[in-house]
Amino acid sequence: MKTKKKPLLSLNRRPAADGRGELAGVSVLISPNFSVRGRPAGAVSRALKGFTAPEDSTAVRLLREAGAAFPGAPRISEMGFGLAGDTTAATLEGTRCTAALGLDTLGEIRVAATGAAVTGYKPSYGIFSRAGVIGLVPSMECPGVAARDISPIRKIAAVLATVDEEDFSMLRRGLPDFRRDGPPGGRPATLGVIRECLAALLPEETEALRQAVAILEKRGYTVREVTLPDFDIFPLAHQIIGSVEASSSAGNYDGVRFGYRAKDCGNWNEMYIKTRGEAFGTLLKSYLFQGAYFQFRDYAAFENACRIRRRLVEETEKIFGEVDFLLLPTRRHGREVGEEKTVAGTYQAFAFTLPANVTGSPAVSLPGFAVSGGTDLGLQVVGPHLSDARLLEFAGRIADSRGGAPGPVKPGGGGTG
Amino acid sequence: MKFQSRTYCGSLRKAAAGRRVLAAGWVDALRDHGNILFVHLRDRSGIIQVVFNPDKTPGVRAEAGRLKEEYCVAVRGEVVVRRPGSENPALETGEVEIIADELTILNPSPILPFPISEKAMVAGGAVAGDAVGEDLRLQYRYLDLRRPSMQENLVRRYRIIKCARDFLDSREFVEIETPVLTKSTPEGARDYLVPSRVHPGCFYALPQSPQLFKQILMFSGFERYFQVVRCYRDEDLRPNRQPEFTQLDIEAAFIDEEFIYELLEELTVRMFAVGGIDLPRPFPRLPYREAIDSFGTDRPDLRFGLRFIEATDIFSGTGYAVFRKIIEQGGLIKGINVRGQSAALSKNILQNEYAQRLVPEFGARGMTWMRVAGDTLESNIVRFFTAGERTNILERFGAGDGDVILMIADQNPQIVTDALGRLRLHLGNRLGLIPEGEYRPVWITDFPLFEAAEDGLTSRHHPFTAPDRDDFDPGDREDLLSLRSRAYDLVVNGEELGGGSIRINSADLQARIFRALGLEDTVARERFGFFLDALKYGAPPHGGIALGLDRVTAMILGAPSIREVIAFPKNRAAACPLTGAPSPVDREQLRELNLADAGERSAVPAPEDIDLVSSLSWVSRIGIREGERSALEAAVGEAKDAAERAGERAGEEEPLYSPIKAGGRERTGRDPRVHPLARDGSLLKGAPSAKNGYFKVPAILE
Repeated sequence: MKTKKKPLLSLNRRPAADGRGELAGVSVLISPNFSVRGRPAGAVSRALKGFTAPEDSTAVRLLREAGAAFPGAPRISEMGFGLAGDTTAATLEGTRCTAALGLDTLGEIRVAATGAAVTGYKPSYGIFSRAGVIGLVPSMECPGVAARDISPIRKIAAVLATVDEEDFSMLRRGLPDFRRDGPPGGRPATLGVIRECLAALLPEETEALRQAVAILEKRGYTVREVTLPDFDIFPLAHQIIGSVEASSSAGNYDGVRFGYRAKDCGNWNEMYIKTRGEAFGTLLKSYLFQGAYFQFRDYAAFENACRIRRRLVEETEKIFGEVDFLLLPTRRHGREVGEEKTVAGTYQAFAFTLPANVTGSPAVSLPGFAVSGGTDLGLQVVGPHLSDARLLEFAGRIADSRGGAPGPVKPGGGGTG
Repeated sequence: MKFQSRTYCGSLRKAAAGRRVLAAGWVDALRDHGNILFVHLRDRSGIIQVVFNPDKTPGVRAEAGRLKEEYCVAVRGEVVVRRPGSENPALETGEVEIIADELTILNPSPILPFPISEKAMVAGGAVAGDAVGEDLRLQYRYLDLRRPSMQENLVRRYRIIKCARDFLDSREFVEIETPVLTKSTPEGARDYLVPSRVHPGCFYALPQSPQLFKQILMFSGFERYFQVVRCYRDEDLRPNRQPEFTQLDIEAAFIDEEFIYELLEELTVRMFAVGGIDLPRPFPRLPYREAIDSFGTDRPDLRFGLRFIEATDIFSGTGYAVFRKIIEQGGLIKGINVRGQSAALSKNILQNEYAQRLVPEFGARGMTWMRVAGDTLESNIVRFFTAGERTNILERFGAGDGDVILMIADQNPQIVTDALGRLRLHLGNRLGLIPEGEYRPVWITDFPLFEAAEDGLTSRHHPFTAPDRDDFDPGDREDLLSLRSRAYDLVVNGEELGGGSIRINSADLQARIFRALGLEDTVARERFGFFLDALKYGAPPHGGIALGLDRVTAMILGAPSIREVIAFPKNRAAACPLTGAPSPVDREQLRELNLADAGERSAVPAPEDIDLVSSLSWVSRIGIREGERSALEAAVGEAKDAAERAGERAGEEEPLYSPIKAGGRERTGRDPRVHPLARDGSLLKGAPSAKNGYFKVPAILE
């Protein structure tokens, strides 16, 4: 994960002139798939070469209005699909930025956060605006935040959870209220681990999750095994739906309205084929071809994936009737997310994070809990849809009591020793 | 279920009120009023509204809740007259409906790839447009053909062809089938070849037309033959062309041109009448030379004027250097008078758009324009002309106030007529001079028999066409180029619907024509020996014609493309998205045909995956870079596996398309507006190419 690539851009924007606002003094790295007015979007893909964003994405506008500073942008994978070549983690580690804003489609922001040993948060689907985001999978992707602590994440979430007329996929009411504090001490939470997930873990992953469970049990939380019978087909549903949506979304990049156009095209069709053939890299193109296969050759597969998606949402909802939050590792053991070159490899690398994208659930990844043999895989806490405020509060509580250090906790408090 | 007593949906009228009927068909559309459910039931005869009322038959209403578009169902119920005010004038059955008391779901349907319904459920309601991509329509042709407009097209096509068959039958023509596996004939296009297994290395050709067979049928004494026949040409792709097409092929013996004109005029009039079109008879005849001289094409659209006017002689002594030079080099000056259009054709349009850009695109170097104001000529070059020349121009073009005279001059007369012909069509369209719903047939006659080619001569039609005289010298090129043929083309509204000729019926004349074409006797014998021999045995005088039935039908039905009147056409890439043809075949099959080398490919992926990747590249308009193919093949192979797994693991759940409910996805209270970024032009700034406030793209039409 620790690549030596430099950040792509350093805009050194100063905070809002008056130095006030909710986010005064907060500096946020903005992933280049979020439009920032006047900033070139070419870093996202060759398809956008030479294109400069004419306006801010809603998320960036809200942060700007709240007084946040934008010190620069990390490098990302093409169109933000996976983390191949991504420098978010390295940039967060190497600078004094408070936080990073990135798009979470497969779990990118959570896995990147784990790489930098910081906290990553993907919100419930539909509570942060996607307007102005250059994305691929509208029904899965959410703007996410990574930061060293929960507190700036909560502050940023409070600013971003604003109804936006420009994003028709957003909720119109009932957004979580991040500004209200929960009852002091919080109520005891019941946590669940998924039996089918445990069965699929590698030994190192089992060890890491067991570590985390042990810490939380010591802290007095009840951890139960729950069952999610179709856990193994989260990636299948995500891949089919995601590739179809990506294939549609990539229709934007036609060489007509913006970005790159191939030279010497005799006619319309040739322009499309050459432009798009030259614009997309092989990994993204593989994903788009898969989407095209489902769209044009086996549409039933897309519908089947959507049926599966409903079942997965229902099975997950059922579990949240039994426990408050679910625990999962964030990233896989032994996979270099920055090096994945195939769609299959990318999906394997994100197998633990993408379920939250499929169901639209909020998820937080915390460092320091799920450690095995010196590698921190990250502990993911997943809550039911729209439980974001409660989830962040809970995550803050357990992170604080950990005191920043992994391993056995000092006696005291509710610990039973 | 017994369907014998079934009533056609489209047949129900007020008179059927009170009857209990059984109707069966497809769910065209549904309207759920919470308790009452309205369904449009469609069969091939039309649509009837079916009502499911929970107060009357709660069980049936509950079952009907499962219905979705294109479920195949049978319904029993009573026909009732609709309440006043709830009639649907868009339906022929719109005054009645069936109150269902029995429902059988014969077969469900998954969600459709595109909407099929063409009828609104309420008066004035909207229906889905025709914006579905053609490849998607062709891939799901079985659904596309369910649309009433496609059914209508194919039924009417049948009626038109049946009308032609009945008429030809009444004129004592007989339909005789000719082979599809045959020998290459010289029609000028590439053949589709079929390898022979039993004759290694030998091929049949699919017929480009049954030309030789129909002539042989005349030699055989049938006298009057016709055939609705499929022909095959491996030509370069054009929008309105199919690799296989249907031709109405006609040949008769002991006839001359007048027989064909009479027969075909009567035939075409009857075929167009099936579509309610009244063709005026007799069809005018226009010699080829006159068509070129007056309209610049041998397929003139006679629905509007703008005939060419010869002007070379007006300028025989001109001082205007450009014209003088062209005339000195034996060139031509022709023009048209666009009457009363000087308001529509400003100086700016004439000079900057036409003279500078459009006419050069048509192949001429330039265009001269003059606007008539009162009795004077306005133009940037009129000062070069003498008063006499100006008067002559006005007189020759019969020009008066408000007219616009356009002239093209070039030393090559063909460039003048070509460019002026294209300009004429352009003006006809642009100025709205082409009347809708009018049909102007014309015979084009007296074609040249030969055309000059780089290395000799070629036949303008085909080498079996009779010349207008037989006293020519096969070695005298000039003499040969002066020969006219006894060929004729039938043109309607600028489109060639058919063509034919009186044929050569003498072996000697045929041999001399082959010689004139530079075909050595031995070669001619090798290719056409059987035919030359057949001519010797008392072949009668004969001739014929062939009509392109796809085009004729498309014109009669007003279809935008011939693909709309063909059940299973190929797409513009000459492929069939439904079946996936053409496709690679097994190596074993190729080996059997002694074509093993033709299928040689890199060993790794299955041949169907290679083809699949190419076809996905085309449908998704994403090119493949060098070295990328194997990664894409692997990815698509993975997608196939994923599709299979999804099929195994999916249940009966409703598909979920978004994690949040659709309620939040509606945008309300917004009026359409122009985005500020569009108004100030910022949107165009990021475009790769923009001009005059528009995105600029390469040619859309080939």
